[in-house]
Amino acid sequence: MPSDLLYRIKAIFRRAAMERELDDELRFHIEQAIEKLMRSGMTREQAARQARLTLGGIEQEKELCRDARGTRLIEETWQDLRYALRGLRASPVFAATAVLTLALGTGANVVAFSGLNTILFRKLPVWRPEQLVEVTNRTHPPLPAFSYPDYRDFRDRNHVFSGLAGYRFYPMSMGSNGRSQRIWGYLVTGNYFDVLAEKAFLGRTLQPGDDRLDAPGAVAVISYGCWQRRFGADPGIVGRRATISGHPYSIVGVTRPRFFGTEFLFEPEIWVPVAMMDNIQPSALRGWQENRTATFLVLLGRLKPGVTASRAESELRGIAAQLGREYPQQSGGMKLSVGPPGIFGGSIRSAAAELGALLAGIAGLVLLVACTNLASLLLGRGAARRKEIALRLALGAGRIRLLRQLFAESALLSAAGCAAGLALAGWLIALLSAWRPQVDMQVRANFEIDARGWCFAAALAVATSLLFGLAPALSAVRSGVAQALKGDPAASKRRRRWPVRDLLIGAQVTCSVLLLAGAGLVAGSIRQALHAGLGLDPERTAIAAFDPSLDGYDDARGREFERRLLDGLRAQPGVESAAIASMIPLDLKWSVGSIHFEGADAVRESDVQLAIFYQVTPQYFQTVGTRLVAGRDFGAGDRAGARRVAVVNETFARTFGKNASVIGKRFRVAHSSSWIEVVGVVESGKHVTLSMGPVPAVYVPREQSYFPSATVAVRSDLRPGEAVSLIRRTVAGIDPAVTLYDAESLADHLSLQALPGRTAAGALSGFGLLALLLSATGIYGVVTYAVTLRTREIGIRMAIGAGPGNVVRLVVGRVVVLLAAGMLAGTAAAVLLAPLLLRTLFGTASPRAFSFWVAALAMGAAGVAACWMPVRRALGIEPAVALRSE
Amino acid sequence: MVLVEVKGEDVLGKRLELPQGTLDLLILKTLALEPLHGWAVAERLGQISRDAFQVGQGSLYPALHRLERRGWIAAAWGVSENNRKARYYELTRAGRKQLGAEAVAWRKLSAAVGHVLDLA
Repeated sequence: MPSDLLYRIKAIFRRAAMERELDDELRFHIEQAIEKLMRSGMTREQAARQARLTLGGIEQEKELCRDARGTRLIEETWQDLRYALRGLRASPVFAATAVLTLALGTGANVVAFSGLNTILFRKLPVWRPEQLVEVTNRTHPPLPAFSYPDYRDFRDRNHVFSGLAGYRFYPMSMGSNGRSQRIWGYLVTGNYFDVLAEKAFLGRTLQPGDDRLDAPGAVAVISYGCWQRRFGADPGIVGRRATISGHPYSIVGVTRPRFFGTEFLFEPEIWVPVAMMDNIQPSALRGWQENRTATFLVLLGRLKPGVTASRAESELRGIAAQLGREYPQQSGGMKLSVGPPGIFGGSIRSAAAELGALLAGIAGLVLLVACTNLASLLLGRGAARRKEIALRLALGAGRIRLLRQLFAESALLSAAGCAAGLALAGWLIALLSAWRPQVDMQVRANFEIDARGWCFAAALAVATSLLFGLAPALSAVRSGVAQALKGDPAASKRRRRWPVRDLLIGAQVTCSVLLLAGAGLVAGSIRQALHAGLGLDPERTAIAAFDPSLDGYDDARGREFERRLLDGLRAQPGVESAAIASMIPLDLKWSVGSIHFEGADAVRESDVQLAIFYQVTPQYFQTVGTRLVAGRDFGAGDRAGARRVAVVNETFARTFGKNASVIGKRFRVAHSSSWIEVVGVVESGKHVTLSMGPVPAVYVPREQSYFPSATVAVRSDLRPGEAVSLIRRTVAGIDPAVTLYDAESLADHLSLQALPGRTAAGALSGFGLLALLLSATGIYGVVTYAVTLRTREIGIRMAIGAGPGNVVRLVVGRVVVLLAAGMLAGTAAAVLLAPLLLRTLFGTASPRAFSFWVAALAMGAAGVAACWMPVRRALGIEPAVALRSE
Repeated sequence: MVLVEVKGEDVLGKRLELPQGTLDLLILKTLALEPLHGWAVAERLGQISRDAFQVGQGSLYPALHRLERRGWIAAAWGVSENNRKARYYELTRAGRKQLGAEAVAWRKLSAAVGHVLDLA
């Protein structure tokens, strides 16, 4: 009934006025009764007495009237909260500690949750995103791509998609005023924006008519950010001309601000039709329209209404099988799957989800430690209040009512803690989203706290308040009234051999050791991964990437530029060697080719072994520090027109040589006609990611296989900054128009690869230290409490001759047992979980026992330190004073 | 349960337990004639029932407040016959409807109970 509800709400806000009115009303009633009784002959005193008797207890009557208002529950809760707030204000250090602890715990959890949420559940910000799926080709991981003719056949033969589009993430240049800037963009099929149902912010999006080789003019769409940054938000942008990768384009539209392409972690600035491929990447994918081995397109489909992803997958597999029969050489044995879009198919998604789950697990563990610590603190507060509670119970207070009152305190704390945690998480996420790693790509860590995140935080608040509030409240209310009133504060201590509060210490120690051991383990493994098996010696090498074709250089001028650059660098004092390579290992990009050895049987495309390809100049191996194991390095004789040669790595030699020497053997790349002879073998190393095992790699001379995009490397005695500026000066001396990007020391370049591991190590050590601190304060609290409770007992014992050893045993014996047990349990858990952790981060599992011992010892030291103060206090007890005090 | 003291005939000891809502019915009926303050309601109930009930403590005012919450009666401050500030209660339209419904229900119930008692 709405009027009823209205009345109750009014009753809450008009509480004081209603109380006054109730007083007046009852007073009027009594006055009337007195007058009536006086009329029957009583004196005023007699009448007043009689009236009060008839009315019974006025307070009782009032209580019943308050009940009748129907606001008791709310009012009492309000009272409880105010009472709790008063209690917390009286102990600000406790309140601040609790809120801060909870804020750190929940903040970490919300961040981890939001990251996971983005990777696993978030949808692209387009129309009906749940209908969108990505088709992933798992034939040659980690490339989830299809060839253009295969795409065309999938698009035309399927009945499950209302549209199937393809796109490719690729670097381009955008020219203005004679200087070009390197930007990343998408090459997209003409139906890309139609499939997404994405409208332009200004102008129009790309249409199928734009994506034709015979289209009248090249067109491009730019992102909102690109329009703002590079064109100053020019309102007349539509129709403007721009030079993209050396060719003229007209800009036909700007995308909406919210649209960032179809990958969560990378942000393109420009979209051009895939028909422009030969302009964007000349000569590399010749004949891509009909070549089924040139795979470069990521496929994105919109499911027809009512079609499930699994049905789409089975139909596409059927088409793949057809294609395999029609083109067994090129399209045979395709392995494809259908999944949610946005994270490069499943390949990165699972790794990122594993890392996210790991961080979430760590954050959860910290929150658990925080909760146990708070529970322990609250138990201590409860013990101090035992007398008060017993008194109130004896006077008839309901246990449920008292429980609610005690619980209000923890509810208040966890609400405040979670609010602070959310603020902290929002700040951290804003930092993360603003962070642009120093890489040549628009990387974005685009997390946000969405509705799911808010719900998660609220759930955390409820869970934490139950976790750390319920047990202390219950234990406080349950305690024996009689014993507590008799003034025996240790009464409840005797009920259980190992009270909850002590066991919590053990749990905290376990978690702390686990976190610390994990931190040490990951940090150690990163160091190991950056040195062992790297196949590089990054120490004195600086690198810088460039691409003269962006400034209109043709191949001949590009080669000339490179020759002059290397001569210039090698002539500088302090420079030991200099070389140019098509790319550097452990970059975010790589190029692969299929290897066909002379004499090997013709096989299907899917059975062919792939190798990573580098085009390098002489001195490359010594410049980046890759050891030559057998044969020779490239020399001046390995030039265009001479016999084609290659240096391979040991993994290549093992894979293709079948234990025989590969030097002198010949192979072909894909279906090209010329044979390449192996002349040398270098050590294997990391190429794609730190966690990926060894892969075959092939190095061919740059003189024999030129490609304009390249990285120059210099090994010198100079400091990294000086070496980088030396490269800049030398390039500027040849042609100031050529832009350098990614100029840094090789060590810095590699550190990006270690980022997931470093993040985990940072989080682990931060949280490990936090847990350590919490455990230490927990131990301190327990021991201090024990000393306070047993001051009299210690006094008596000392008076009858107990030595310091006995006293120490009495006070900390139990804690030492718990500490030792926790250290053991934590180490055992770390030993069990370490392989899992390392596999997630590094792909290998070789934990070193060292970090376990360090973690356990650090915890032990912190525990002993925490006991130190209270023990000194116990030893300083004067028997005479202690006995008199109670 | 509402406790009402019953004077005169000693039916079930000194006290008679009225079914839930009976006092509410009596209050509504009392207020049906004119607005009254709490004291007057108690007096009127005593008079009309020939002092068969005297509304005891812990029931009248809580009942008035409950009826007010339900929207059956409305309260306003006024001046009593001896010039004192008093809180007057008045039947609302919803209260009048409720009174009608409850009176019918009560008559049916008491007739049925009486019938059973007469026959058994």
